[in-house]
Amino acid sequence: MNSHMQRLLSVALVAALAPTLGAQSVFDSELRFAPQFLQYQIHAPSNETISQLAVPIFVTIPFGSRFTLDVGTSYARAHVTSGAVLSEISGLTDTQVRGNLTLGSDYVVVTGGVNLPSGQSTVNADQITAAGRIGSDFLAFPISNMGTGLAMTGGIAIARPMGDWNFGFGGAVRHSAEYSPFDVPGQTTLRFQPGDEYRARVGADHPLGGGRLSLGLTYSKFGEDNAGGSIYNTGNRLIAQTSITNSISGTDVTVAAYNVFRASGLYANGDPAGTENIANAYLGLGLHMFGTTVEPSIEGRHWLQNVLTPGVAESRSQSSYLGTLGLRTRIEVGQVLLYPSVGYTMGKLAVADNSSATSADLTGYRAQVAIRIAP
Amino acid sequence: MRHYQTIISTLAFASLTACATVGMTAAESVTKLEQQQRSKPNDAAVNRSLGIAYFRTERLREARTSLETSQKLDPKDGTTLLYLGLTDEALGDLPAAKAAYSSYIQVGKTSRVRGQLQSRLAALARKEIAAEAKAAVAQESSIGSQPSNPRTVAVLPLRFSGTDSTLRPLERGFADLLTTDLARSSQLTLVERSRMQALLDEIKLQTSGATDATTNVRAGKLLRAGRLVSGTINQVGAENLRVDAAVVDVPTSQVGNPTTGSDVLDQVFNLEKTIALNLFNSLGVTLTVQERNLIEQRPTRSLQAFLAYSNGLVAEDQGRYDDAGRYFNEAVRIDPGFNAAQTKGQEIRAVNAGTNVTVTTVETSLKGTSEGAVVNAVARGEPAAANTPPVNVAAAAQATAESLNPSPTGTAAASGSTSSGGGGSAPGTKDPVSSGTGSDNPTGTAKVTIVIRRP
Repeated sequence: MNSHMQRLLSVALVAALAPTLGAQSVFDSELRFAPQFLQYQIHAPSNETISQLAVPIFVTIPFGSRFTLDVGTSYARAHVTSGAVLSEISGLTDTQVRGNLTLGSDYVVVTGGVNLPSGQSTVNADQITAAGRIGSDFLAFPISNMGTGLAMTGGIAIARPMGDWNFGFGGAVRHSAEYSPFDVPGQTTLRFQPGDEYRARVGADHPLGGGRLSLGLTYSKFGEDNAGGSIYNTGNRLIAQTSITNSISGTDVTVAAYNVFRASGLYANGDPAGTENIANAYLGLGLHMFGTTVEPSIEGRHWLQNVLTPGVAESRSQSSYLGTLGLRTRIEVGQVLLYPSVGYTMGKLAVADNSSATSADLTGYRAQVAIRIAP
Repeated sequence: MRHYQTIISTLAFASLTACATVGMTAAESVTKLEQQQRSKPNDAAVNRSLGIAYFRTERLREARTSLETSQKLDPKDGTTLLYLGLTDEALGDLPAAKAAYSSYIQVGKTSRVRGQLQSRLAALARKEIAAEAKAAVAQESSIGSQPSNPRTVAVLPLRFSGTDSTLRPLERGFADLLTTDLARSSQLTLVERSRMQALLDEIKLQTSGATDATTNVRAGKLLRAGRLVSGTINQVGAENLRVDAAVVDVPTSQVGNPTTGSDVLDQVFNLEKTIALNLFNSLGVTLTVQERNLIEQRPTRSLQAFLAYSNGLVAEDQGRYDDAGRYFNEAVRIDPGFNAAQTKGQEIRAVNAGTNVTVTTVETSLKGTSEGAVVNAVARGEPAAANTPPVNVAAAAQATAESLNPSPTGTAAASGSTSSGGGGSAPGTKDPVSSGTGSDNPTGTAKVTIVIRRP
């Protein structure tokens, strides 16, 4: 166990032992801790294995009834092998500190956050592949980067009831500081200034049977990134999300879906980046059995890429998809809630092999024990 | 490895512990919720569920305590208010039940239950009047000695005598018209007809059905009315009516000079106006021009509609709400402009519907709703349905704020849908470097070459 892990476990222990003194005080803090392992194997012709061990830890601390502070960080180890080539990176990630202040009659929330650069934002040549692969939106690793430098976010959210519906509207801005993403011996240090992000969100929810229907639409507009003088933007994003929860004949049913559309843009080297779209759907059944909830689930994901080749006028489209069978349960031990889950994934990944488009089989598995401790 | 062995051992122990909650009885769910309440005494959801569990096991006083605690913590929770109302009603505290139901109508989320409680409030108002009458008779010695207000007037049903029994309902109808007209004067306060009737019924019950002038005076004293209006309707021949009415001074039981009027049956409304105006003189009230103009108005010009309306009042007083509703509908059918009949019809339909509202019918309406899910979870000893987070405006604002300023670590540490109501993976957040270099793309070759062209 390295020193990072020891520190994490110390924080967890202190939070877990915090006594109960009353509502909405620091002693009503909630700790979430979720060690998990995820591995994908991309078979021939890619023959690449990507795995991640992540131990995120997240603490929510209420200060009075109107202000909540949460702090989250993670230990992560990413490992990529491709034949004899190995890339690995591990360590503590950045730490996100967020504050939410509720105003008036709970209808307005002001949110502010700082991304503290406790993670490894500068990677060497041997770590680039591992640090990059976990950022894949399609494979959706729990920790998508090891560090992105100092950043600040501020925003405001407003909700209004309209009949049986609740509508939420909001906007936020994220500004990141400059940092050096690469440390390549013999090369000049490259400075990278991420563009500002402007985020707008519209959401709605409505009681539906024994549960609820939730809808959300988030638009992220990115300013131009500056990598050592190379100005580019990989494309704005539109994220649509919906979820339906209900209880049918004693079984909790959860249907959730999201769609991420990324507009076309440019890579850092000036090559065109085509549009891409990732659609994900999830169905989970919460069965009340053995004195707890057992939840089998199935999840499908599709990735549509519009590939633009420099110098070629016509673009081509390629599709990748995966399906995951999962099983999750809930175990309560005093004030500790455990959510063990496992999943197995199969799919096809579109790959470029000697300039011809083909596909590679994709398999993977994951295991997680999410732990929630609330006094 | 030792770390994982510890986790596996913990899971095995936890599974064995959790198995104890299978097939939970109502008493067991109470016990489980009591344990949760002890560890989270200030949790509104836990107190709410414990209150509902107590209510369902008929531990009403404990139910009220838990639900009141929950209400203080979350005053806008509809399920708490609903069960607080049901508990208060079961305990016989009708004013508290009415207050809780009224609050539910403001904030409750289940529209069918809101409608049921609107009706229930109308039924409870009747129940409350009857309860007040009973309490007044029980405390007659103290209430009866209190001074009455000479400006407070109660109109008693008139007594009918005649051969045509179809005219007997005019006893109530005529008294109702007089009450309406006397109430036009700002100098008088009229006792509601239903309140007067409830007291007469209670006294009648206490005295084995015997009613007389003394009974009426007793009722007047209990209502703290200074004066009563009583009288008779006599059928004269086939087509004529004679009405005699007098003001009784309640403190002295002295009957004032009677006023008399007679007319043909078809002119019953003119006859009533004559009597009403004379009564104002007897009561020493001088009307303004505006009040007089209001009194001159006729609620209807149809004798048949008025007879149907009067029949409705009789049925209402006898608690036959179905019949009363039909009579009021008949009155409106004959004279669509008969507003009093229309209002009475709506009121009676609400009372009738309200008398049929029970705990079972309310819980049936809750089925398949978010509030119903909260109630269902009580049977499992859980403070709320596992997949039903609270749906409220504050939660919508928090969800929007969460999406605007996401914490990737917070998402990664989430436990998924068995607790949070979410499901499956979450959309990734952009990593600027891997996105800009394409190193996040597993569809290319494994070797990543990063070439950044300077402008």
